[in-house]
Amino acid sequence: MQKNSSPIVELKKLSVSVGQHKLFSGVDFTLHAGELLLITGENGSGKTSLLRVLAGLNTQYDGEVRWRGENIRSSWHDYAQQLLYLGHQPALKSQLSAYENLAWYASMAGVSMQQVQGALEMLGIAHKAHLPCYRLSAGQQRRVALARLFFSSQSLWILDEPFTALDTHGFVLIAERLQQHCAQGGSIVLTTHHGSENLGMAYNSLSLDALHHRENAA
Amino acid sequence: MSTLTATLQREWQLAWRNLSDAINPLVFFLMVIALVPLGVSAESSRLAALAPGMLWVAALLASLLSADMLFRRDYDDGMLEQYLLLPMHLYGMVWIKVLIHWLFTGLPLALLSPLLGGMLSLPVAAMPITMLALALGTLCLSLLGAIGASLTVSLRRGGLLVAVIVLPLYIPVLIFGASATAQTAAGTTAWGQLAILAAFDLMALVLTPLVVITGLRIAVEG
Repeated sequence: MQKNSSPIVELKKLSVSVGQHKLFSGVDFTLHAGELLLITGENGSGKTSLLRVLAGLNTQYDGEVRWRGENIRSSWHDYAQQLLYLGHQPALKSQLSAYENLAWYASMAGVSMQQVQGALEMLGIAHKAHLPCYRLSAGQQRRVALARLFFSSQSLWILDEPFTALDTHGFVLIAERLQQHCAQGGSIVLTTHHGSENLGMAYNSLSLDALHHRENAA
Repeated sequence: MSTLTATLQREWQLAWRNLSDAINPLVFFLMVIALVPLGVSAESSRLAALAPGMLWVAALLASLLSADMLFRRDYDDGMLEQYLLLPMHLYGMVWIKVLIHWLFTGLPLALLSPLLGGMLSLPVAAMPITMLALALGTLCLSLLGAIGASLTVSLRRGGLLVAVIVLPLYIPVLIFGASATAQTAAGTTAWGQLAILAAFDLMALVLTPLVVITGLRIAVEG
């Protein structure tokens, strides 16, 4: 952990509401290079909403999100270049093959197809890379979506339940990749219900439940 | 630039894989026109009088039918979020999506129009201008349809709402398009109407993406 470096992401007094209902308020945290932040909370506590705010997909919030000391609203272009967001939906086109899907992501990231091929082999789906994605199982589709992590040049990863539908072997592969990313100075914010103790690395965690209950009691 | 080329390539592949999206409006167009002689009269003079209006109304409805699907899949599979997170302006992205949509719905409709014009006893001399006018007009319809599609994409069943939003915007295209066909059928030239349709296209190309991008942002935030 490089505690002395300047923070990559800072949340200051963040509050998010859905309609009249306040999901959470007063969330503060600081994420440095090489750190992983795990967001925990019950279903409906606002984990996904928090990640969407962080990714700039939801701009209806109070408080501030800073990227390297600058509000993401003003430094959006730089921020977006360093951001990899993987949401609930795998963001794959079911009619296209794994290879075709990832070809687009590879062009966006400016990497070669050899790296895509490498990622597919690493995840054990290279033999199915030419089948349309709707022919793959949910776990295999998740692997295809996560293959992006293996050729990503972005430094901040925001992952919403990345381990859904993965088997144990898949979990280990992705966990290793997360460790590697942090070791190289990248940062990760993620939510998961799948054995965070097995991530095999130190992490900070932020519980939305605690904030939620405090809010209700007040 | 390479990001746009990659997007163009992918949208092209997707359009081929989802060919039924393009075929359905065409079949609809064909069926509506085929019903006219059955419902109205098979007398060629009466059909010829109806032909310009019928062709354009049917084309307009066929275009409307396909507009709803423009962003629906991207919204459902999470692709729209990825588009909005790209570190570039989405102008090019919207152009690509709409142009591909037009290539697979509007352009085939224009190419099919001589056949349908023949079924409605439209004079052969009026066919080339009708094709050109339909090609120009449907591009504008696709761009306007994208506005309706972006505003309703987050609703589960937006079909009828798209019609309510978009049909009033279609009216100028209908008026000038049908007038171009009617005038050439009557034996005069219709360059004025074609020029106006082309002007509509240019204006829509510049302005509609701004509205569409805003609509998509609202949809994703909602």
